[in-house]
Amino acid sequence: MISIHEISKSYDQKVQAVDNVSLEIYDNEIFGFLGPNGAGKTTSLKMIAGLLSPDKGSIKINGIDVMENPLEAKKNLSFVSDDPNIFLRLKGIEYLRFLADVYEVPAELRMERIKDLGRRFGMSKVLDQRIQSYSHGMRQKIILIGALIHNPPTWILDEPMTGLDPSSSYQLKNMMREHADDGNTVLFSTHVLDVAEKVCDRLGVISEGKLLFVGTMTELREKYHDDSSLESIFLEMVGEDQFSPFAVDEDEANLI
Amino acid sequence: MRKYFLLLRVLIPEAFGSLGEAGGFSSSKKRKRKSIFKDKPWLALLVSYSVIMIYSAAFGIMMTNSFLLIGMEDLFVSMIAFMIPILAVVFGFMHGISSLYHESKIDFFLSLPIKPATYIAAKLSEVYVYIFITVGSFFLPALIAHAIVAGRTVSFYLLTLPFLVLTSVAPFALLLIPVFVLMRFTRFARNKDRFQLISNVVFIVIIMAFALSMSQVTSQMGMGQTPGLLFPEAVYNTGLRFMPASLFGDLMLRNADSWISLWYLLLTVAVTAVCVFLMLLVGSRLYLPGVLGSKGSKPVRILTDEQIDKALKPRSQVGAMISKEWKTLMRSPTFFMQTFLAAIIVPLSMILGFVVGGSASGAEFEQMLQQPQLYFQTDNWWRSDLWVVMMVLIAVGIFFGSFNMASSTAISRQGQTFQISKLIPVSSDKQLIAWLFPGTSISAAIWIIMLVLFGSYFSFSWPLLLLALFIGLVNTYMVQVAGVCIDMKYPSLTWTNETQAVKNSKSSIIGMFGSMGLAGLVIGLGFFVNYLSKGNSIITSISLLFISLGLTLFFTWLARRMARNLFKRVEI
Repeated sequence: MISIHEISKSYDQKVQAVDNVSLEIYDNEIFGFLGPNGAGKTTSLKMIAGLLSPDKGSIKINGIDVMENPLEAKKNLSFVSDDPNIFLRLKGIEYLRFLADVYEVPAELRMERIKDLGRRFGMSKVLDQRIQSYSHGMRQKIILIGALIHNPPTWILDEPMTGLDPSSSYQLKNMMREHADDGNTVLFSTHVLDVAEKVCDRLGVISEGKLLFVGTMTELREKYHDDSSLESIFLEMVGEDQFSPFAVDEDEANLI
Repeated sequence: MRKYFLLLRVLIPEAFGSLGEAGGFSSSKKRKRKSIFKDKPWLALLVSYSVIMIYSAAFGIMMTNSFLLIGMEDLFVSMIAFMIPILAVVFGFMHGISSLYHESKIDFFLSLPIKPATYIAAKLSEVYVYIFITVGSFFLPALIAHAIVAGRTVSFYLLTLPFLVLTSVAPFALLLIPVFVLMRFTRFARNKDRFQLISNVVFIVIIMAFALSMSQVTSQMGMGQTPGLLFPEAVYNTGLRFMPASLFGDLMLRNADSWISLWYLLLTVAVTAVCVFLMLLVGSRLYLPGVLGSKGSKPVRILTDEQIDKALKPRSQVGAMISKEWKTLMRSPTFFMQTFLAAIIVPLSMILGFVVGGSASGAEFEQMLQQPQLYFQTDNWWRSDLWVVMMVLIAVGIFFGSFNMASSTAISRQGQTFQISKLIPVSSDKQLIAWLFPGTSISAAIWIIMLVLFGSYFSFSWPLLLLALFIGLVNTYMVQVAGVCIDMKYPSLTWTNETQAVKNSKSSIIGMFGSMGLAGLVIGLGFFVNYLSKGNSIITSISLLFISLGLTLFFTWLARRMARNLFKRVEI
């Protein structure tokens, strides 16, 4: 379970990247974070994972405060960043061993999980290659395998489907479902509204650092009295203009 | 032709621009720090080659003076004409493969609507510019110094530039033919990192050999002897017969004061043109298929269950961190070169310079060494100067340790990967051990090797050997832990090029010069205590030991404290 209480974050003391967000994400739940580029999704996820410190507010993972007891909190979560270009000079298997060691995964368990995850993501045959020789999608997969190797109760995934082939994407969605059904928590951000609509138990829409909506798809439709797709509701919520190809910047308009 | 020049305008600044990038950026989002080399790659280039150019000019003056004594000043020109193709071939091979085959931008350029021949010509020109700058730095100052000392005519100066260009283009062009064949039909040099590492080591060996030969010449001059040729005269005469461009170039420059030099100039141009034509002929057929072939995937080794079992054997958290640090450090040519190689090369070149320079100066050198041998063999002798011995050991330990920048770049090298350090449930103390381990172990190993060499040569007594070992290891560790503190203070994590993380960054520069300052501080304190104790060697020695241990404990405490705060302070 993730408890977020009134967190705010600003990078330059002027613009709030995340503005007074409070949220509860429960066990047995897949929660999707939606929002346009620069809305504050990654900042929020990084604060939850303990990579960024909130200017104010608190975050608890399974009752453990991320700021006060970071080591314990980290044992309870896995985080997948939106940039899979890390440890490029390690081989896939070396990277996984490193993570298995630092998370102190027992020998039999790590073997079993790596074999299972390697098979699911089609990575078993390339584990002996350096990560720098992997394609973007393969790097994303090895990062995912590494994040899931210690099987923590809370998964925090930033754009996890980016670069994945359809089969791996399908596998990941299934794994997220299985993990949540086992009594755990999955929080992920995405741009793909179709994925959010089909996978999430609840979703949160964030724009300009503010949480505009939290609830199920049904509640969203009820609130906006709209039976159409999530895409049209989303555009209505975050402001359709910024997605329009004909949108003109105010300064530019003045020049014209 | 227009597209050729357009390409050159992009390729040449790209090739040399990376030198100006080595500024490093602060992890803080507040402001970016600008390197003095930013937008001035020529300045970075000049600085990098200035030492070679100074050596070259000294070489020209000394050798010419020496040849003038025996009336054979023309032999200096032959010597240069012989050495240019060798240098052009070595550097052409190393830089040519990196630039022609390993660059990631090749795919982009090949997709542009430009004829392959135009692209190949521009790419080769880009590589040649580098070769010319290298050859020019090594030999142009020497030739000019020679011309001044030997009182050559104006035509000699005018012909110097065509001489350098033509004698380097021809061998470079011929060299590229086997390179094209190798890269097209074999798996040679497919491992970019390994090739780059070997090339860099070869480059340093050449620089060292050049510096050592200079050291030998300087010593001979200092002892009133006539410097000898680097090789016997026959080697130059025979060698030049197999290098037609150099042979005619040599004759051109030797006869610079006569019209016949123009005839030799024409012959040199003709030979060079034939070489370039042959190279373009082969290159037009083999270069592009070779480039495309080099992108092919290599055979994959699929791990068996037993191999996976073995590869996943559990280790402690610290063991895993150290292993990761070692692998990322040793597998990156840039990181390895900038952190470890200087730590190995500096003591090695100093010892070699000492030995080569000393042996060149003959019997006086051997006599000079007898005194310290006696001093170190006799326990009572060095014990009476214990505080001086301690001070020297501390200063030398810190001095050599300061060239090892593995710890003072340990945080910066992580770049964006630092978020993994923040994310994993490993305490800051354990991570600190891993950051310190590679640098400390390498410096300790170098210290032990030096101690064994010097100890056996000067017949150190056991008490002195043990004292030197202890002092050396303490100070080696102190330099590394101070270095990691500096990197924690000024981490450079948002780099886009590995060079930015380890070269000319605030932490690496402060790490190196700060350590030297530290050596100065310890020496200063040593003298101060000696003055206060009215020259009591025992009191000064014990004080020096406590100062050294005190500083080590202080930096360890500081590093632990800073590491704890680092994870809170640095946001990535």
